[in-house]
Amino acid sequence: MLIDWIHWLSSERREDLLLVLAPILLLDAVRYSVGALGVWLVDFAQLLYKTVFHPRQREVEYQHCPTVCVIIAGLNEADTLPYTLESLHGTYPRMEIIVVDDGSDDGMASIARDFAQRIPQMTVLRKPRRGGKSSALNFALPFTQAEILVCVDGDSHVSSTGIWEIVQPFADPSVGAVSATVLARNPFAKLITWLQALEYLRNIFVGRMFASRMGILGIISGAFGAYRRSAIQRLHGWDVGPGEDGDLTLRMRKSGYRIVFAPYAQCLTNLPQNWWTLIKQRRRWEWAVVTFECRKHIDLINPRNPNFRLSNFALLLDRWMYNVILMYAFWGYAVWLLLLQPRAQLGYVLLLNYVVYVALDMLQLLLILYYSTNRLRDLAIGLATPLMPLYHVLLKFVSLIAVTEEIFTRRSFRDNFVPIHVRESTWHW
Amino acid sequence: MPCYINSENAVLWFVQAIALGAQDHLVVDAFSPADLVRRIFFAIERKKWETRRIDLWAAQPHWLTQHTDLVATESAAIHPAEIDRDHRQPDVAAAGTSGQAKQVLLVEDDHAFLNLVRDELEHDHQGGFDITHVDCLAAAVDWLEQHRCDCILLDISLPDSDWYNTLAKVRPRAGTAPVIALTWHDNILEAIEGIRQGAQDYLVKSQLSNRVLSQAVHMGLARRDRLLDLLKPQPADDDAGGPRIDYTEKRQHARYCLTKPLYTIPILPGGAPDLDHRSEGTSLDLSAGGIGFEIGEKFQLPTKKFVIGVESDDGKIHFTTVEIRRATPTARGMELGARFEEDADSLFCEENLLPQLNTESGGFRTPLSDEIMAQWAQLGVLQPTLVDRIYACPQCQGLPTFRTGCRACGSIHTTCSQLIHHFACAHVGFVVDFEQPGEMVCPKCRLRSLVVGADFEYVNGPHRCLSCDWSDTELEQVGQCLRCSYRFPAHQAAEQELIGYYVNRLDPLALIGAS
Repeated sequence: MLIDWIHWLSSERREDLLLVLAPILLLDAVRYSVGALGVWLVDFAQLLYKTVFHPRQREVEYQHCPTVCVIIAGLNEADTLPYTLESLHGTYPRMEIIVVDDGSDDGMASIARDFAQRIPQMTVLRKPRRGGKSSALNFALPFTQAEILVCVDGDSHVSSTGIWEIVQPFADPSVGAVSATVLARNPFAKLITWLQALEYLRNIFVGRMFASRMGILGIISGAFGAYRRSAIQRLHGWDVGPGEDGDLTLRMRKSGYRIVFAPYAQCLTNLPQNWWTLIKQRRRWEWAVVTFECRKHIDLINPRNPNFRLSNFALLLDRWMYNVILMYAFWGYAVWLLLLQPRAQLGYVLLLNYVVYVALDMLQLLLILYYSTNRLRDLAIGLATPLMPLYHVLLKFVSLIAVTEEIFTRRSFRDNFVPIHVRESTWHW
Repeated sequence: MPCYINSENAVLWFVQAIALGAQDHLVVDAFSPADLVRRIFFAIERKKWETRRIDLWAAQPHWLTQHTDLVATESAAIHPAEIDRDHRQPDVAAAGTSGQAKQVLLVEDDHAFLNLVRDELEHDHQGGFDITHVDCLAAAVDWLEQHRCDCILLDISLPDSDWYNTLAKVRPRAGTAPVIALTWHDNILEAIEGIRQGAQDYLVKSQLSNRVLSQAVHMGLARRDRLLDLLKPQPADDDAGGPRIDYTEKRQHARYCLTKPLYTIPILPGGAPDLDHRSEGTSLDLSAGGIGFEIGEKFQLPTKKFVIGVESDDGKIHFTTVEIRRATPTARGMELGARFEEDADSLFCEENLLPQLNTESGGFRTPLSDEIMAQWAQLGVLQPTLVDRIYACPQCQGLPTFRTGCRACGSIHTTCSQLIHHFACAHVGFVVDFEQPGEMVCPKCRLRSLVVGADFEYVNGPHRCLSCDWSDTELEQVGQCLRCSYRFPAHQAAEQELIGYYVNRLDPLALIGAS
């Protein structure tokens, strides 16, 4: 079988091979691998330059120390909130904490109040009725005067240097927001979290490095991200979601701020542990791409707009290509493969695709390990690499469903992520 | 003296009417006006006789037992010489056992009439008459000396006696059994005199038709049962402060003597028990209103009040307070005559047993001091019981008031900013930023004419204390002591249990039953 496959491989012409490899070459595998490789080459060159020309120069860490307000907005996160607060407390000197309880019924506010007894710079806000995450975050805005707002999810743990790392880029006044790394807190709990942990390492930790260098970083994780308060106040805070974090990022870019990535500002978050939760989460992400990148912020591609910037145009193009056009192309290819390719060769083609994909993922894994702060853990997570192609095909399928239903039925406005009274009165893009 | 007139002629109706208190039961289409007059006279005279009868029975000190006891055991307990046949023990064995055959003594010398009576009573569908027949007064008296009977049908013109003597001799030997006189003479004055002498009914033989005789027997038995019910002690009701005692007029006449030991404790001035002089007394004489008892030592009574206790059927000792009316020294000690006190006058009245709010000290306590209550509780007279639970000042145990206030300093001076959450753009801002002349306008998305509920909702910011600059989502319940003005968070309030006392109250009537 294997011999047959090698024979088939060597008999095919290069163009034909490229044709059958088109999906992975066009889709994110190459994009992340090549991007990461490029980043690594630049970094390695810099490192060489420094060791050769400035061997004695010590890296001075953490020069910037603005006042920080950590906003923890959550719904029914009484169980995990204490750990989040513990992980934050005492890691940064000029920090206040605001916990916003978005109408929880599990006593989240009272747990936060107990903490507020011990932590002086802590405020607890409670909304009587659930109003969605955007309104909960906005609720905190009038009650702080800090320069930097850091949003943390109620089920995430911020690493001890996380706040320090995330505020460093704000030394540059053109930076409006900083994206941070989100990693899995429970990578080995189940197979599903293991696969997600590897995906997060690839897409966020190394993937955003590349996007940030290219200037097309357009996403800040809701679980951990930092914003300049003056910028947020100019924009009057978050709009109604789902996908409110991506929306705010785009609005910031539109108003001229830069978004950068702080790879070592890390936070560990609880990943979904069952498939249905994961699918619902991914559907929301895909809906947001259609709602915001393809509808609400379509004016970013208008060159006559006074705010037009090439990087924003590239960002939007990148999203359209990878999340919509190439996604459809992938499924078109899959149909073509199944219907038109000779049956005998189907197995060879799939095997070829699989091998190439895993090889590219291996390359990325090496780069992840190069940058990693915890190489042993990341290597263990990397053992899931052979399963990743299947996982990605599944996510592509979710993506197909989600994008299609959002384009044709505006599904996100029927989603319960935002309460119904808010959904009904907001704009349907 | 109600008389019940019905149109139905059924024995069951008669009996029920009598049991419910009617004196007689007449059937509309079966009596003449003369009959009605006659019955009314009978009823008046019968009632007079019953009243005398109750007084006689109640005045007898030897009628100690409940009516349900058997005659045999009573007779053994009572000295034979003291038995007055006229006031013989009410015999309830027959009344209580309605299922058994009722003994009917028929005193009759006319054999033709005898068969008529037998025929009627034996075919009575209520059934159960066991008829004994004698034909002269002497035989009737002999029989009554040896047997019990439930009803006597007495022909008052017997060969060995005249009508007046017949009744006078039979009536005292009949006990509680109704005597129904039978005669050939339709003489109203004679009949009334007969009722006055204790006959239940006075029937003219020539008018005995339509089951008049069996009705008379049933009504006689029913009247007798009602009379005995009146003499039975009523069950006492349970009450929060112990069983309540029901004094009825009738029972005050009854006098009994108690066989169980009597625990006596004199009460000192101030309400404490006199521990030195508590003793076990013997009861001499007991009635519903008072008790006479003897204690084994002589001493100056500290007050006129005593607590006496008697063990009851449930094994607990029940107590009541009595007021001493007379004290006579005897050879062994003292003989005391006392009256039962009403609950409200007693040392163990509700106000004394339950903790009361004292406005001066600002706390709850019983009117008597705790030591006195503890002494009574130690004697077993009072039993402590949890009445209520209150929150008190953690410092001085005084009563606090509660209100909301700052969590840190308890101050009442707090502010709370009000904000608006605009649904459409998720903007949350202060109310003043939304207020424009005549309408609400969102400062973020510039939507105009916003409507509360549909477009926006009010949310409260954190409460901020003006005294100490503390902020919190909710205000704390703050207590402030009314006595020492100490301010404290409500959860620090001392939880206090209010202990009241319970006393097993002695019911003199139950005592009578138990003796």
